[in-house]
Amino acid sequence: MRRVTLVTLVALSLAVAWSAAAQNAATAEKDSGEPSAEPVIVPPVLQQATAAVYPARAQEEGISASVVLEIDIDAEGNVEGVSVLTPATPPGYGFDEAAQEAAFSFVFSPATENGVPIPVRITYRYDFTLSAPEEKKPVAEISAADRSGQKKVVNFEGVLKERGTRLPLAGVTVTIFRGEGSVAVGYEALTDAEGKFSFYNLEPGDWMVLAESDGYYPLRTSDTVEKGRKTTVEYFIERGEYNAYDVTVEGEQLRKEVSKTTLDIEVVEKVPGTFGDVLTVVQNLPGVARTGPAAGNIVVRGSSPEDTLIFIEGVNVPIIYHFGGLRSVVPLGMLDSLDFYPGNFSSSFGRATGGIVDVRLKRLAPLKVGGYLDVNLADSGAYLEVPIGKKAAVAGAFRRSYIDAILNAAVPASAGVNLITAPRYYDYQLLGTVRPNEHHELTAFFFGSDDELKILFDNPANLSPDLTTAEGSTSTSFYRTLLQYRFAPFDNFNNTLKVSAGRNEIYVGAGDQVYLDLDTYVAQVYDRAAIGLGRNVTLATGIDYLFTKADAAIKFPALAKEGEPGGKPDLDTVQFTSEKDSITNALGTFLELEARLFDRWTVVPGVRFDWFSRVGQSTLAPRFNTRVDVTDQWTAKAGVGAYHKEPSFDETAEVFGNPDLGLEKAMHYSAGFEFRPLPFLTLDVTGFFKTMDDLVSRTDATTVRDGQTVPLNYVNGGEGRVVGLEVLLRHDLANNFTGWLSYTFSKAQRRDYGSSEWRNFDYDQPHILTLLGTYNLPRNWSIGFRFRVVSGSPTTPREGSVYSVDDAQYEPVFGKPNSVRLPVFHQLDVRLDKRWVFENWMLTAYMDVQNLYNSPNVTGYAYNYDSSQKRPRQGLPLLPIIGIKGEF
Amino acid sequence: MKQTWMTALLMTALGLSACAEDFESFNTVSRLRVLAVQLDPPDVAPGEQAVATALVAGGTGDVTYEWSWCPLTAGSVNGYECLVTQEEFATALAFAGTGASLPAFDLGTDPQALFDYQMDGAALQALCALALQQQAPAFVALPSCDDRFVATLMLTVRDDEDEVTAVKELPLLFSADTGRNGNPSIGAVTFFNEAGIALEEITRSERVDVFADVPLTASESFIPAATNEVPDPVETREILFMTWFVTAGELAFTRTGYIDGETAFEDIQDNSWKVDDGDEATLYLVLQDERGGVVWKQIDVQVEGRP
Repeated sequence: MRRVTLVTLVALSLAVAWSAAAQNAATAEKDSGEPSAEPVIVPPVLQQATAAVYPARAQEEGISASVVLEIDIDAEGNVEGVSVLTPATPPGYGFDEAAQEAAFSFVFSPATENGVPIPVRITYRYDFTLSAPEEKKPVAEISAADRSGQKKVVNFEGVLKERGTRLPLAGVTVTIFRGEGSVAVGYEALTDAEGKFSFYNLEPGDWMVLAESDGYYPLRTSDTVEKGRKTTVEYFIERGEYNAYDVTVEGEQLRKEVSKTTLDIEVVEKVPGTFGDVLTVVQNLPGVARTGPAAGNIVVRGSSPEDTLIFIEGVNVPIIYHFGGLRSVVPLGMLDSLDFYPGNFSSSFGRATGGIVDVRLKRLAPLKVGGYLDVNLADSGAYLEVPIGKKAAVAGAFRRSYIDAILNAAVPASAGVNLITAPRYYDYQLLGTVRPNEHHELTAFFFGSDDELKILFDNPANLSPDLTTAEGSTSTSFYRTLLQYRFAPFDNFNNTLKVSAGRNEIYVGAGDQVYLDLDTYVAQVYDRAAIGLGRNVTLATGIDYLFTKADAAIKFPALAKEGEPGGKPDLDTVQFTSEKDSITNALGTFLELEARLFDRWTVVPGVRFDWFSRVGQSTLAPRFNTRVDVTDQWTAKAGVGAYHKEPSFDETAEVFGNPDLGLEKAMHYSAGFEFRPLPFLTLDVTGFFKTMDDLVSRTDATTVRDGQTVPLNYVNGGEGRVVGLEVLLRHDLANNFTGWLSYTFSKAQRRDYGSSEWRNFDYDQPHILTLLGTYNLPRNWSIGFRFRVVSGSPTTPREGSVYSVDDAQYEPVFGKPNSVRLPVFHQLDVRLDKRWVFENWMLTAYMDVQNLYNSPNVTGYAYNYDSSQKRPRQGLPLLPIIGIKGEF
Repeated sequence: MKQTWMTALLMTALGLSACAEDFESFNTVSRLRVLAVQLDPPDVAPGEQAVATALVAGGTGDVTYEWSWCPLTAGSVNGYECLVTQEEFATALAFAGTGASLPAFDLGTDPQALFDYQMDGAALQALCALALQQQAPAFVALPSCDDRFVATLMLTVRDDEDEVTAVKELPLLFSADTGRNGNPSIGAVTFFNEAGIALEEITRSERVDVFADVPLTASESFIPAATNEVPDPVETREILFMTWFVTAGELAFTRTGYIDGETAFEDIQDNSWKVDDGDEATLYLVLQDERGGVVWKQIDVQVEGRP
């Protein structure tokens, strides 16, 4: 007899090979965050299935086959899309088409996350077989009460939890049985949302217990039921992979950007060479140039680092890294994901002409008290999250470095330096969320950071005759309070209000000789409202206001800007200025339409108005992005937009810069396509062109200000142009592997004021190739690698020197700016992780080895005292870092 | 701005400064070097002459001198290129009035150069104001024109193999009444062994302490120029630093210094030296104050002991 069997799916956790036997329950993909904060995801359940038509020729020839489908299910349980993940073998009989056609008519109950319906993507295997399936002998009766009619007395109950995380497991079948053959008896129970299950009226004696769930090792144990007593148990089953990205929620909104990459924190954590730092991983994406170790810069599509803004949940912070790049100031535990826009970003972002990095906070919804302790060679940090009822939760974290202790021990007495406060940093965060119902969500986030370094020189003259003080110090501290309220009263309307306030205190200096002392109060208000105008049109609008009040005392020499030789600052050019209660305002408003036409074409026209009080200028910036789904696999995209930013603070300061400067401008153009040949494989190719005008550029001219002739310092006279092509081949987790290949070709140039020649931008790197991947091994091992090949950055050669008698040192004479290149950079980093899962907690140990084959990469040149000799200055040597992390 | 300095501080703390590479030390004189240039007096008042003398060491064969000066240079980044031609300066002098006389930019090829400042201070001040109108390249501090005009003295020396250019500030005071600076002085230089016994010769491969008798008066008291940061400056002592050069061996410090209120005066006087090669060696001490005063001392020593 011909029979078509629907065998289920295995979600992307198909990857877990051992689970081949456990393919009887539909499993939805779910969003996993940190294991300790995993939301309750209830998978979709197939409510209505239509049998596929068995291909006639295959039937005649007696051929069976299986097709693995990928099914997109919307938040209402309807099938939105079906694609073939693994085609039938042999091909050509029409199995794939038949399976697809049948799947389109399936109806599911929607998947839910914490009770809220969500769209998901599942993997579904459709078996075509000509033989009747083996009848499964029932070993269980779903309802034990049916068999006797006697009063139900629960005498065996328990709770099923995930081993290591203690998370309750819902919807898992627990089977209890005993006997063999004709005397075999068994019962099944499903765990509820709290992982609880119960059996009643069990006969006294020993019972075997089996609990199986997709993605978990099966639990096999035995327990005893005693007459007249209730047996209470607690079972733990171990997940096959505690790698949280083994399943992924595809619940994202309509894609509207031309260039956007989202990184989940779990992906970030295991990227080799980054020490799990979310922002460092950005440097491996297309369009991002390589900067030096501990540089802490993000150089996007040929724009200067200050042209790219980095937000933490929309809040501007003065530093994102401790000590210029060692660690970012918010630990991974607090974060959910990161959105990176290398260009053509939406109207909702402003005051930037490069790119946008928006780090998003974890959506706090812990089911239990949990946290972690992370110990490594640089610092130690702790994180704790606590649920408060079912609608609120709080989390806190603290981290402190101990580089100071290491350096104090490592710096020899002969170094002539006393580290009064060796490099020391700490940061702290407190996050709270209240969700009274699905319409309201209030989040409060308080976070701050403090970095400090103080040095006392034994013999300042020995270090530099310029030093007229024996001490140097730097400190940066800031805090921010963010209140965020999301209001979504209707399906077609939502509003997000963010209000933040805080203070930055920055000091760097050497005694009274040179210093920069800034004390700034910052307040920010951001509101975005979106209203659906019909099924396919959304109108978004909002305001974006930034207020600063600063006290500043600055005594500094002229410092090298982009394109200028980075020689030693000339202390003869030191100038002083001080300002008190200097207030600046920046106000932005935006309007953006998102329209989906013909179910294939997305157009996003937008406009942004900005007013900047510091330069006294306002702008209107139109932007337009579009995407066309040419087929299910191919998407074409393009964008164009105008962008503006203010000059930096020092550039508009009266003494150091030119207070009459105006805004810098950029135009972004990009076009490309995305190709998704397989559900887990995406090819994204984007060409881009960017022009920059009115760039702040150095000038020799003088001007008369307040009756005095003073240097003009800067004018808006520079230009820039960048052209390039980005390729990203991304492999989401499948077959235990995730990773990407990123390649960028670009040419970034600048033309300074008064010059007729284009020169290379400081970070012009024509070729940037990054190959990165992580492979999950059995028993919670994983191994990752990152290989990079990058063109050398431009550098300015030295052509000689002049001996400055008064300074008792040689001053280099520089050649043409950025006219030579450093050698090609290449490096391989690897990382090995192992996780041990205990009943109530987990321990992870990792080893991150940078520069595995000790590539002698040149980061610049060191010169002898008169610049007559040079030697390459090498970057990081082979550097292994180990760490451990305990989670509960 | 901040990051640059933070990085510099961190690098310094970690001992990663550029000098750490295995280059020959700055204070080892193995080829032609200009170690110091002294102006006497170190600042020149109207009607005075200043004599410029150079401490040149390490040359081979005939060493030639080429002195010049320039009223406004393009700064260190641009190799101290002179931004004013002789003709332009002559025009400027004519603007200053008859009787104004400053030397031609070319100051000759003798081991010493003479700078003859025969000009009214007020006229020079007017010229200084004119210089302010000039376009100055990046990193070039325009003259302050408060009580002096700081020109640049330049010396290029050549031997059979090398050419070295040195620059020094040439302060031209507008009035002789301005607080004057004097060149500092160095007393006796003594070598001691570990036991504290003074030595006539030094022993090969043994570290010896070197004591340079610098009188406290080398650090003169003066009132710095007023600035917008410190509009009413108070009297302070000059910062001193001494650069130690040797023809052989290795010194504990390249420089020593004295900063009033920050370091002890004795710190400038002490160093140690160890010579491993050669039968004789020379120690050059160059003492400088922060206002351009310079003096030096040269000590030739015999090195005893088996090579």
